[in-house]
Amino acid sequence: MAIEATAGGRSAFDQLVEEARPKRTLAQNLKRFARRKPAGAISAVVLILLAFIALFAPVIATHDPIRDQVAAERLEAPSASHFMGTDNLGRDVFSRVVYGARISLQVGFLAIGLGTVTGMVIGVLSGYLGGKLDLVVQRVVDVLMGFPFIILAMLLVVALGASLLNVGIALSVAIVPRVVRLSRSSTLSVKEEVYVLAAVTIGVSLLRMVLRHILPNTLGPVFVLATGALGGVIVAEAGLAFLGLGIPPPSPSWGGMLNIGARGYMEAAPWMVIFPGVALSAVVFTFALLGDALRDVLDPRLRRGDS
Amino acid sequence: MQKYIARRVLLFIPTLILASILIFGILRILPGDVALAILGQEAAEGGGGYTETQIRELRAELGLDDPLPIQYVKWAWSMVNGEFGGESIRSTEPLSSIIARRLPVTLQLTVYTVLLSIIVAVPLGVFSALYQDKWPDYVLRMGAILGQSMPNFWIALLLLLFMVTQIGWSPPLGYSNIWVDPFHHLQIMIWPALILAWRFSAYMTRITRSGMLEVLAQDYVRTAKAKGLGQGLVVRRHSLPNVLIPVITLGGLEVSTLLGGTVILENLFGIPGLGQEIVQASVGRDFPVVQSLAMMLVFFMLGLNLVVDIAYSYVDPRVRYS
Repeated sequence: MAIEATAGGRSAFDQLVEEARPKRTLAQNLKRFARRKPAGAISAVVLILLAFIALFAPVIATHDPIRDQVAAERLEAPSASHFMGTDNLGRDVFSRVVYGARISLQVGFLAIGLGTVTGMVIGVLSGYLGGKLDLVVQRVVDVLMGFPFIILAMLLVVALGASLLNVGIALSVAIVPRVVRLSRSSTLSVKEEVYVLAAVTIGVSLLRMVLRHILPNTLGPVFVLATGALGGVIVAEAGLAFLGLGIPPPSPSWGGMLNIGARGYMEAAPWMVIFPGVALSAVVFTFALLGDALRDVLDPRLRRGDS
Repeated sequence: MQKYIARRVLLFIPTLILASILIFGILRILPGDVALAILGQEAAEGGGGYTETQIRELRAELGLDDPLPIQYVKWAWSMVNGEFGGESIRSTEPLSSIIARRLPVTLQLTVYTVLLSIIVAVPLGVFSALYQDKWPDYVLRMGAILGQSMPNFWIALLLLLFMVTQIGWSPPLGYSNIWVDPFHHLQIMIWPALILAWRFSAYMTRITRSGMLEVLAQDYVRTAKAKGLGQGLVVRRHSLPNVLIPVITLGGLEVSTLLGGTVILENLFGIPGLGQEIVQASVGRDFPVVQSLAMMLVFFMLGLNLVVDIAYSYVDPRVRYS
């Protein structure tokens, strides 16, 4: 049963298989990925599209997401000029959803980037150095894993104050313990490899050892975790904004839009609730699919149990 | 066995202390003055300003003048002796009464969700495994993926939207205690419980399914079939009991994410549990409430993990000796 992607215990057999594998170019690898995992490939395309929308939001959006408030056009149903209708302040929902992609991706990548880098540094050092440091880190990680994700993020947002940067930081802290645990366990198995022993023998410095020999070999599982977690982080951002604890209005965060929509506009303007939610779910769904496909590709041992 | 339990329970205490230090640390050491934040919020809402004296008075009132270690010890002790960190800044209600009022509600919601999930997930998981890679299996897996990728607050909004516009019925406002008006109570609680259970049972179904697949491939299952047992008996007597152990353990550990979900849905459905209070307190910068309620929630999480661990070691002796 493969419930969680752990990378501990690579057997000698896996090692042999890996060495026997033919080397392929990037293009060949991509083609193989598309053929073997069509769902993963489709989700990758959707995500590239999403990044494109976020990047070119000013071009795609038909209105300004914040400033274009037309009192006469409040709560209008979807039409040719407002594809997704207008909200309670007469803002164009379509444009806000488009700009919302920007916020979701910004927070998502900020949180995942910060969280994985911090988590990997701590995890690899803790696993490689061992001893008291490892003991302390493990205890703290165990405790933090016991915190419900959203509660930990909430505490941090309350302490830091709500802004895009702070929400990103808060969510990054919330994923750090997961990354630490994973990269520590990979480090423990990599540490036993012969090439690490060889590196020790020729007197490689700690920095070089960690950066050149250990870290690159622990990246795979962390990458899978990060991809899968990206969707979770985006939902958490939306959840915080939905609770009024995320990026403050008037920023067009999907969660914030749902929050306003849920406050008495559901009957009058259901499109205020439907479209941001569709966008949010679609993004999370594709990240989950991509994460699944990547996990299968990068970690073949997990293929059997879960499918 | 007793030795194992004793060791786990003894380890639980430093874990709790560490958790409390983390919560305290997050709220105190990070930049930002609590008193200033509260007064700033009040001033922004009331449209007025605040003076130096007000800041100093509030700091004294909140005990912020003490050195941090003393503040921590005072708070930690109050969590033990039943004061739970004093009272709310906004309502001046003592935290002990807030917790007594709201904790049972959250616990009830959690219990309903878990019960619903188990009732749904175990049969579906078995069914899905028996029809592996046939269409019932695909339908169930799609449902599970949907349940896991749609944010629960959006499912809730869609459900409310559907009920209001299509059926013309919405869950009653206001909350009733189960002992006072059980019908009204269930009418409110059933919706968040159902939505939480969708996601939770999606997870449980997946574990049950993969556990079943593993067990069904075992030699003793083949032997049972070979000696002529019907599928019902093979599943009930030889397979399911072996699957339930990991299902219950992993399910127990997953309740932590469930708790996160209750925080959001309590707010959406107006259910007066701990989650609603901690969010209102967070928005209102009511630091004592946020701090103590976060500690309570984490305490329950860690406590639950402990119980699951012990229960697991009880059914699977291998764990005890590792």
